[in-house]
Amino acid sequence: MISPQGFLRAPSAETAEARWDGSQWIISGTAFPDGLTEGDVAGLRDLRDVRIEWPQSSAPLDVIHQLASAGVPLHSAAAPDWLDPDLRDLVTDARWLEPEIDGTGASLADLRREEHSLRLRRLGLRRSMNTSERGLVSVIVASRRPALTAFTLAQIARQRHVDLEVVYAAHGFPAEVVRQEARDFPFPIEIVELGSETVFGEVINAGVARANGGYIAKWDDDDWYSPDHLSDLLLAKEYSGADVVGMPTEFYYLEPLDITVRRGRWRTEITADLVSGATLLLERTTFQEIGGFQPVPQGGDTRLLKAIEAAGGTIYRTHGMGLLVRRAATAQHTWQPPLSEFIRGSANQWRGFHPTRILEGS
Amino acid sequence: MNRPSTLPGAPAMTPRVTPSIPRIRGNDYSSLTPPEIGAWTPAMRVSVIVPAYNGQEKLDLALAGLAEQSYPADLIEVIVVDNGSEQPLRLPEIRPVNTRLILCEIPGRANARNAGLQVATGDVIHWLDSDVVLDRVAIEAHMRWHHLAPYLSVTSYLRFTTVESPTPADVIAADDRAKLFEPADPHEWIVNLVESTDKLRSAAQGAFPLHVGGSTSVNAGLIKAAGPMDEELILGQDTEMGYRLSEAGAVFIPEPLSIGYHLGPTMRMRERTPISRVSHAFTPDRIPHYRWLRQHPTRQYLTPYVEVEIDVTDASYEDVRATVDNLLAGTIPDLSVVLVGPWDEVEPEYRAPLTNPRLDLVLIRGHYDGEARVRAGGRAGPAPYVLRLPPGWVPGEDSVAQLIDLMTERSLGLVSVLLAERPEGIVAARVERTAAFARAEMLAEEGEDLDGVVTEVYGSMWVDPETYGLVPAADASPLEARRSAYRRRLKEKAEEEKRRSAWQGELEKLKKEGERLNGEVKRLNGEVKRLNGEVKRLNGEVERRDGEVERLNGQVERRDGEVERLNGEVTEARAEAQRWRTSAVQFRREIGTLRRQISVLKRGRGLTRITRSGIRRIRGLLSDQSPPK
Repeated sequence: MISPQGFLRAPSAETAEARWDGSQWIISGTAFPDGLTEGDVAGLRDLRDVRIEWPQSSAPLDVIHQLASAGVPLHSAAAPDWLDPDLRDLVTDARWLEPEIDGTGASLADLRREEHSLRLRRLGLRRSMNTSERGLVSVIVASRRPALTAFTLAQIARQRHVDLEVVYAAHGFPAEVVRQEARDFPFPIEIVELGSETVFGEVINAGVARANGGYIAKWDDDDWYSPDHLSDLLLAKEYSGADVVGMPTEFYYLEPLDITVRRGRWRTEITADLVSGATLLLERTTFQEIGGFQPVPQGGDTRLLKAIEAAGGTIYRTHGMGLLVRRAATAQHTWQPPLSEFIRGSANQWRGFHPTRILEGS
Repeated sequence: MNRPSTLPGAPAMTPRVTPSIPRIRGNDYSSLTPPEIGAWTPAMRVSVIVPAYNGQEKLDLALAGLAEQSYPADLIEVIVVDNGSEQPLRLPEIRPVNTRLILCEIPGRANARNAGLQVATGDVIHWLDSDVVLDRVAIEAHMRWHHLAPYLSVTSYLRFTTVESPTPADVIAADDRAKLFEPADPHEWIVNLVESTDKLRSAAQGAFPLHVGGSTSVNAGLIKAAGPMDEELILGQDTEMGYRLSEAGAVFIPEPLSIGYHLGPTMRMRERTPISRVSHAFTPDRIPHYRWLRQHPTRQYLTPYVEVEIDVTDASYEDVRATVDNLLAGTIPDLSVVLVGPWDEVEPEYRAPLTNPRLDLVLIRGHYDGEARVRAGGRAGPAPYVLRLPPGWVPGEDSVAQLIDLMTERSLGLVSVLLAERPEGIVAARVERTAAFARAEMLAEEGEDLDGVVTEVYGSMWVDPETYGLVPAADASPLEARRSAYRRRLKEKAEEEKRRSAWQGELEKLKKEGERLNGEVKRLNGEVKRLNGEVKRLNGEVERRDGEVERLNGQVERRDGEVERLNGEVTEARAEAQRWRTSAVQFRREIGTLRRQISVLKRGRGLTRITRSGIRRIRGLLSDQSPPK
């Protein structure tokens, strides 16, 4: 299956040309009369982009859709009217090609390229897979902070291309707080109230026990998620075939310093052993088969991943463009790594709150 | 691609102001697009200041060059400053409408320029040498930039002409002044500087030498901020002023459309070495960016490279000492320290000194009273970098240098070091680029955060303290006195030398051993050769012996046959012996029979004689034919 697996985040080659010769698509001089294979796609991974020369009149788009599904960045200076508007807008969108730097003067070319690739992937993959019809996703929120309820629900409310319900575990505060905030919440929501003495793992398990969805998605109460977060995870679940899918944590908002940093150039779109606990998505049956969350106050995510691997399951790490993790001031959180760890070796820094364009929903 | 207006829960951000003045990052002026020549409406006034000493003819040409400019004459003011010429200068007839002549008796180009500056009223000051004839669009080409931003310094392309000079009338009559002055030579080092730095756009802190007096225009407000020319300098005043302009936030733009023809070859071409000699004596004191001219390990200069501001108001004497002492011992010698505190409230208490509530401040001030690099009071001033450091935090020997490296490599305006996160807030050190903050001050809108503007015009970055070696005073390693450092170096050198010579000895020994072994190898090779010969010989011998063996084997075979034959004979003999034995047994039996017959006969007498002879015969038979043993 043609998919974003193997996407290269820092290409070393320049651009290639794709054109329709009247009967077939030619990419970089090679004809692909029968479409692309995974091997063909691997050969295009190192390119910054593929520039498409469109024919005047309509041509089959199989190869182009394959390129899009693979996340090969596509661009055209102009596109003909016969092209469907979504694809046309995307390939002619040149924002990602404009030189841009972060607050420290470092180039953002690769980041913008990946965002562009991601938009193409969604367009290509959703043609064959409607993520809204993949079944119900139960979003499990375990929160100790009533003050964040409105924030958390607003993040979930803007999820799109997905059928979801929420199980909100009010951990040490009255369920009524959540009920109040959820009055206008657009999706089904079930609220569980658990005493503050309950350990985190058990809170999650209690949430899952009330879930009706075929899928379980873990959700952190204080992080920012792109509106396509769950839909992206469902896509990755499909094309990777992994038992658990998740994202790396790359972007942090460091509240005490009021800066946004990007750190850890993770390899993404790859089978991995580590994904962010705030992004786990798996089938409910898988969750139950491995015995759920271990009743521990911390480190439950890592244990879950280890259990999956021990049971012979696989973990897939998709892109991390749509996640922004909040690092609050020390006093407000149970345990956090020192701030300087987020700064050391950060690849990018921006002053203030600076979400990616993907996170902003574009 | 629907785009929600804001992300839920995003922290409140100050609404992004639309800057009224364009914000140039570093020296990258590519965000400015000047209008085409002749296609815009100028409004700003320019004062062209022409210092002159003698050379009336050249001045006449320079003024003719200023006449008939494409820039509106009523926006041009020309101030000729006669710097005490032997024959007082006069204004020629061919000159711009607004031209004044003033006198400055004090010799020196800086004095003359400053005299002109004092009476200048323009929005822009254009320094022009009295032997430079401008092209017709030169002023307009400068001024189109100045209309875009108030912090620019624009420089013409000077060309050195040695063709026979035209008359002032020729100059105003000529359509294209190039025809009068070409061929001419370019201003080589400016061309090199411009070409090696993407037209100076990537030059950042290295752009200021573009400020040359030949034909450069600067916004008057910027000059006001930077101060006039330094009259103490005898050479290099332009560069020095360029440095101060850059510290005031200036952007330097080379303008190829503005050409100035310099009458005669450049002074630098003629006297390069003596000029460098003079300027290298003076400029390092004032231009800290010339690091290669400040290689001395300890000496101090007029303008430090880094100034460190430490707020000591509530600090302990020990913390301040740890911080200041380590700063002074770092790898940047041209660093000075400003101690910020309520110094006018600090009074020594002579009767009971220990009861003074401001005792630590008294001790701090007293301790550094004699250190010229540390001063109590005032603010950081002319240095290109200012470090703000909380007392009690200690930079390592190379920390400050590494932070500055980071800033120059990335052209940053601000680097913040996260020292500690405390419940009451963040403890941080900061290095600020003076030029960036000066520009930000100029550009910041009402209420806008200066750091944000600095990030836009240069860039800013947070770093961690471990990477740059900043530690709390308690964790700092003690400082080493210079003399013990010197002795340690000496000792290390001696030890190194000892090790080296030990290695040398070892090497010699190994060399000798190697030689010996080589000899041995040679000898052994000979031996091998000899032994090979021997082997060959022995192989021959073996072959010969083999032949012998074969021959002997033959013999043995033959002998074996003989043995066999003899064995046969033996067998034969044995068989015969057997036969004899059998015969013997038979004979005995016969003898027995005969004896019995004899006995019978003895009893019968008659036969005695015959029988006796019979016995004799038998006995004879027996003795002759006894069987072999």
